[in-house]
Amino acid sequence: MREDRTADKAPNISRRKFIAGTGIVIGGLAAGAPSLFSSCSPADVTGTTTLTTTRPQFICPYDGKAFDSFEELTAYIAQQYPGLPPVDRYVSPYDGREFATLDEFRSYLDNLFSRAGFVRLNVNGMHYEVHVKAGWSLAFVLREKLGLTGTKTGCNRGSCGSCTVLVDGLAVCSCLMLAIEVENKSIVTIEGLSNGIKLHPLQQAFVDNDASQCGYCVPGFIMAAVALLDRKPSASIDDIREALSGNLCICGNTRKMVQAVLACSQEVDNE
Amino acid sequence: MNEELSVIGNPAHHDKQIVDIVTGSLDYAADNLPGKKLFVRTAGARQAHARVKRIDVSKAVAVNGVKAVCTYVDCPVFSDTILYHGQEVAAVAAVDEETAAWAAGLVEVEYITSPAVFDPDEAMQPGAPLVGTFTDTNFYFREEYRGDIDEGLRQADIVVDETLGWTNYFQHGTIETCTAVCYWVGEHLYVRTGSQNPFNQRALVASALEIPLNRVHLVSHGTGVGHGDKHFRDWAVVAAVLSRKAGQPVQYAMSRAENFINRTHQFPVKAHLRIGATSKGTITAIDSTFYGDACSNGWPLVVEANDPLKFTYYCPNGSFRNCTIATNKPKIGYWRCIAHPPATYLSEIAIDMLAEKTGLDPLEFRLKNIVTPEMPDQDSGLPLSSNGLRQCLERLAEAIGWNEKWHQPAGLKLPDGRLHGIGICAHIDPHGTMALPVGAIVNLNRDGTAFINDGISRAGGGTNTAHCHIVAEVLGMKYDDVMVGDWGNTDVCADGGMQGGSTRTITAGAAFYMASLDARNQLFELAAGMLGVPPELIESRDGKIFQADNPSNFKTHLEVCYRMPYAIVGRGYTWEKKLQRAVNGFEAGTPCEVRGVSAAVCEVAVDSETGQVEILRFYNAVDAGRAIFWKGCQNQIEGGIELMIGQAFYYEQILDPASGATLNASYIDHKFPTTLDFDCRRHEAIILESDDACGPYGCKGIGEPCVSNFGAVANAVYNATGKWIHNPPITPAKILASLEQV
Repeated sequence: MREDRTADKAPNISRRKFIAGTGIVIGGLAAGAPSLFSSCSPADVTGTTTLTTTRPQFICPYDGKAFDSFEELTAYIAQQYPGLPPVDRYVSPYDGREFATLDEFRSYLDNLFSRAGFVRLNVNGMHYEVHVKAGWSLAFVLREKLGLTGTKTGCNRGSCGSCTVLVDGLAVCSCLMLAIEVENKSIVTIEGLSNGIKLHPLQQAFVDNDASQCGYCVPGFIMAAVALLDRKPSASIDDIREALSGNLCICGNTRKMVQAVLACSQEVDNE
Repeated sequence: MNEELSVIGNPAHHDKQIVDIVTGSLDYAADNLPGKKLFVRTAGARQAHARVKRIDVSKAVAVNGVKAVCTYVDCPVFSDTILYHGQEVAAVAAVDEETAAWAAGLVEVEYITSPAVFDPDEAMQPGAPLVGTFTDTNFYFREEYRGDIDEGLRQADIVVDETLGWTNYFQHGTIETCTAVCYWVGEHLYVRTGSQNPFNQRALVASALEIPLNRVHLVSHGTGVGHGDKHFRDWAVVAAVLSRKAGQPVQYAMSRAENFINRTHQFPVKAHLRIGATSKGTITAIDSTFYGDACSNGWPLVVEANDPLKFTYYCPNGSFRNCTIATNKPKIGYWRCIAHPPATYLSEIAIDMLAEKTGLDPLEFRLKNIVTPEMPDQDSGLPLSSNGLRQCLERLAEAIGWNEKWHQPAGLKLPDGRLHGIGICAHIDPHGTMALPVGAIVNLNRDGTAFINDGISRAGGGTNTAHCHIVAEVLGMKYDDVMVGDWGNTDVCADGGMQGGSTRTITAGAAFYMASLDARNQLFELAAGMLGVPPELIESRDGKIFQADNPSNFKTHLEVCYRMPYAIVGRGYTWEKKLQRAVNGFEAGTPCEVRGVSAAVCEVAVDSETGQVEILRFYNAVDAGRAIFWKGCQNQIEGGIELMIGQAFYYEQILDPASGATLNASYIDHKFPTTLDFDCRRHEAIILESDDACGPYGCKGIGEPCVSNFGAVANAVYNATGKWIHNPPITPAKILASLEQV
C-alpha cells in the first residue's frame, strides 16, 4: 500500500523500490545483514531472503538455496536452471555501477558506506546539519543522531510500519530511506504533530478511544493516518483499513485505532 | 468490599500513559540515549546440532568500527553446544548496526556435527538420534488420574478416539524486538530494557554475571509487547558483557530475524484423545494424552495441556498424560499462556466430534457438560472463586443468534455459493489467579494526589492503570488524582512479580488495595482531628473525606494532605488465595481456586474453489470477574480476537526440513494479521462480570483466557465443510486438500 503511494507521487523512491528496480545483484550491507544476495537478469527477479549467517552467503534467486561461494552458486544455477542466464556481474543497487569480481564490488561498497559527510535535514520545521554515513537510514539518524525517538523501529525492512514518518507529506517507512535521500525535504515525525500544548486531532482521537495497548506501534499508525486524512479527509472505514494495513499491531488493537481515525474523518459512516 | 463503586469500571477512563504514547514520548528501551552508544549483532550457528571446535573472531575484531566481540568463552548465555540452527555463537558491538552485522558475518566457526532431528514424531522413534537436550532420551511421560478411567469408558455408549495435531510452531513477533541498553558506572550495571518481570530479570542478570544483586539497576518502562517472550535475561546479559568489554554503553536491539530465531516460540502439541459419553450426551470418561514438541530447550510446558479438558468439563473419571519431546528446533517458551490455546484447539475439536455423535448441537452439549459455578474443583475439592462460563456461552449464543444459525455440518450454502459455518469453543484454565505475594507502594502528595510505584512494567495489559483505579477507589480520590509515579524500576518500586499467568491485576492489585488501605488509615487519622470525629466514622469518595453520617462535614484530600506532618506512604502485600466472602456454602477465608474463563463463537464463509475462509463474525467473551480498567479490559479482549485470527490462519515459523534453518524470519514472510484481516464491524468483545470472591473488587485475570478459543474457527470451518483441520494454521491449501478427500 504505502510503497505504491510512494512510487506514484514521490520523486525520490524508497530504498526497497530502488533495490527491486535494479535487480541483478544486491549488496546486503545497507540492509543490515552480511549476506550477499545474488541474482541473475531478468531484471524483475530479486532475492529477498534474509539469513543471519556466520559468513557471507550466496543465495540462488530462483529457489533460495544458499551457498558458501559464488562459484558453487553459479555451478548450481547452470545445472538446475540451464535455460536461464548465469550470474556474471555485480551491480551496486545505489548507483548502478557494475563490477566483474566480488572483491571489487565489496571494497567499493565498503568504501561507499564508510564515507561520511554532512546532510541538511528539515525535520518538524527545524533545520539540522547532521554528519551521517551514506548507509545510515533516516530512522537511524532521526532516533540516534537527532534524538527523535518517537519514531520506532520494528523490522528495518519496511514491513511493520512502526517507523512511518511524513516526507513531503507522504507516509514512508523511514527505515527504508537513507538520510542522504531526504536532504532538503520536509520531514514530519510524531514529535512534530502537536505543538506541545495541544494534541493533533488524531492524537486526541487516539487518546479518546484509548487506542493503545503496549503503544509501540501507535506513532507509526498515527503518522500513516495523518497522511491518509491529508490526502482524503473523508475516508471511509475501508479506506482507513487499507491505509493502515502497512502497519502491524501485535497486541491486536487495530479496532480502536481504526475507530479513532474514523472519528477524525469527515465521512460520518460509523456503522 | 463491593459497595457502590465510583472509579472502578468507568468506561470513560483512559490509560494513564496514553498521552505519552500518542506523542511518542514514552521511553522504550532503545529510546534511552546514554551517548556514544554501540550497537550489537550476533553470529548464528550454521548447524542444528554440533559442538564448536574452533571459533575465530580475529577478522571481526579487525573491522573498522568494531569495539568489542564476545563468544561463548566470555558470555555466559552463549554455549559451545549447538542445539538449533541459528543459535548465537558470538556477538559484536560496533558503532552502527551495519558494521556490527558485517563483522558478525566474518566470525569463523568450525563445528563437530551430530545428526539433528526436527520432527517430534521422528524423535520418539526407537533408534532416533539423540537431540542433546536430555541426557539419554528425547522424551518422557507424566501422568495424572482422576477416578476410574476404565469404569468411565464402560459407562460410555459413545467414544471418540482420535489423534489430532500437530498445532502450529510460531514466534511471538513482539513489535519491539528484545532490547537492552546497558552501561556500567564503576561496579554498578545500569540496564534499560523491556521486561515482563523486571525484578526477576535483574536477579537473572546478576547471577549470570556473578555480581551482587544490588549492583544491577534495571528499569523497564515501555515494553513493546510481552506475550510471554520478555521474561528472560539473555539479551541484557549480552549487552552487559559487551559494554564491560568496550567500556561504553551498548544497545542490543535484536534484529527481526534474530528475534524470530533466537527468542522463544509457542510450541506445537499433538493429542490422542479418547472421550466417552452416554447416549444422552453426558461425558463419562476423558482419557487424554498430549505430546508437546519442547524443541531444543526441552521445557516441560506441555504439563498444562490437559487443563482445558480437566477444568472445563465435569467428568469424574479421567486419565491425563503428557509427553515432553525434544527436537533441534529454536527454543520454546510462554506464548500468552503455557499450553492452553493449542490444547484447547484440539480438545474442543474432540468435544465437537463427540457432540455430533450424541446428536446434540455443540452449544447444547457444552451447556450440559461444563462445570457449573457452584461445583468445587474436581481434583482438589476447593471452591472456585467464580465461574461465568455458562453466562459467557449464553451471551455469545444470543449475540450471534446461534439457534437460528447453527446447522448440520456442510449443510448451508450462502447465496454467493460459499459454504456457511458457525462454531463455538469454551475454555477454563488455571490462570487469572492470585499468584505469589508481591508488594506495592502508594505515596500521598501534599497537593491531595497520590503516586503509585508499580513494580511491573508497561507491557500492554493496562495493569498500571488498573492499579491506579484500585488506589483511587480505596482512597476515595478522583481518578485523575492518582498517577503512576515510577514503574518497572527495581531501585524505587516494590517487587511486583511477573507479568504472566494473567495474574497482575488480581495479584498486584491486591497488594495495591492493601497499600491504599494503609495510606487511607493514616489519612483518616489525620482527617479525624480536622473533622472532629473518630477515624472509624470517616469515609471518602470522589475527592472528599467526610463524616459518614453527615457528608456535609467534609474536607478535600488537598486540605487534609496539605497538613501532613510527615510523608504518608502506604505499603501493602498480596493476600493469600482465599475466599474473601462466603461462596456456595464455603465460608470466607477458605482456600480457593481462581480460574480463567472464556468462550468464543465464530461464523465463517468458506470458498470451496479457492479454499479462502472469510470471518463473518467473531465474538469473544471473557469472564473478567470485574472489569477494573474497563477500556483496557475491552482492548485486551478485542486484541484476543485478532490474536486468535492469527493463530488460526497465519502464525507459523517454517523450518527447512533438511537443515533446520528458519525460512521465514521476517514480517514479510511470516504474516501477522493487519487491519485488512480484522474488520471492526464484525467483532465484539463481551466482558462478563462474575464478581470473583478472591480478587480485589471481584477482579481476576483475562490476559490468557482471551486468546485461547481459536478452536471456534476450526469448529466453524467443520460446520461449513464437514472436514476437520486439526493442524493449524488453517490455510487455503489445507482446506482444498480436505475437500478433495473422499
